Amino acid sequence: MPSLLPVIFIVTTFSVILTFFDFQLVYVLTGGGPANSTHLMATYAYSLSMGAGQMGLGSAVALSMVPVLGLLLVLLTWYVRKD
Amino acid sequence: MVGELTWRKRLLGLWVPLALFYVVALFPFTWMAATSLKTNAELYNPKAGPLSIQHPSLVHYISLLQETNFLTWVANTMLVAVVATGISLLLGTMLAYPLARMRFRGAPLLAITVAITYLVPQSLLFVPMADLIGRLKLGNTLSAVMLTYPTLLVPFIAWLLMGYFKTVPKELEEQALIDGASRWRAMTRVILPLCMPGFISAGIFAFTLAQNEFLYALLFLSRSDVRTVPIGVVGELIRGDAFYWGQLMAGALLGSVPVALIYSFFVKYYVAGLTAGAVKG
Repeated sequence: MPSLLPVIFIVTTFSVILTFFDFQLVYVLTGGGPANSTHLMATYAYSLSMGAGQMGLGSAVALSMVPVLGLLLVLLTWYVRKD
Repeated sequence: MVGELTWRKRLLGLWVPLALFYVVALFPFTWMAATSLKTNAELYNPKAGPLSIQHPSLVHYISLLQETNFLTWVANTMLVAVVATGISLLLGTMLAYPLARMRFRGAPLLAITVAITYLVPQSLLFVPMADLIGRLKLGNTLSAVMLTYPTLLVPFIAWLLMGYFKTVPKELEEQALIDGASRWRAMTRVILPLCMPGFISAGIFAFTLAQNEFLYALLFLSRSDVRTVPIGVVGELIRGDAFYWGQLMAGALLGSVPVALIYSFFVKYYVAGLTAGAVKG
């Protein structure tokens, strides 16, 4: 286990990132509906910018994901740098 | 007695868990195949079990091929995936080789940047991408996705190949240099041929990614005759709340055949490449 720890850490971070920014599963299954109750950030940004034509609002929603991504990436970089 | 015990242990410790994983992994495909082979009357009969087929028929496959542009979608997907993978392999090698082999200022920073670029998801980048493609007037052309897919694939391939390049001993290259080969010749004649398994596994990964890519294809390809398989199947067989289950499943099953073929042929390299890249992190 201890020697597997780096790999486990990296795989977990990847998995969190991929799940957090997932798009196609939600888009295909529910499309964010009914009444916007099943949106993820990515599908909400898509439906605002492409469906409703509000590019600015959609970009804002997409960019509001950046802090989370940044935090995860800083963690990952710090961890990789450490060893 | 002893023989029986080990046989039992093998059964319980190896074959039963394996069989469980096998069932879990193949269950969706079984359901897909069963659904695609039923007639509509049987499909929407609530009393029929989802996995039992009473009257097998190919009616959904025939209507998929006749009423939609499925074959065009398959051709589009293959073309886009091959071109995007080719571009990305070339650029990815050019990026990975110096990062793995040469020492220069900022190399570690650049290596981390590659990993970070790979992890920035499409869902973050699609608004500016859509704007860019619109300004270049590339909407509804296959070049739109051929040009945007490398933005995902290049960092991914470079990252995998960096790990692989580092497993090839540096001495081989130094020896070629001592024998009077130029840096370019040492790279193309000595190192790159040794990295063939790395290229193959990175290529398969990239090909699969390009084939399954959803968001960019959905944004840029809205006309039916330029769509790729996932977009075409989802876009034309789900109309509002009506799911054409039989044809959807037929399309999904046929669409997964090429990937299954590629994987089964190259599975040896694939596994080797996977571990080579994974250890590097």
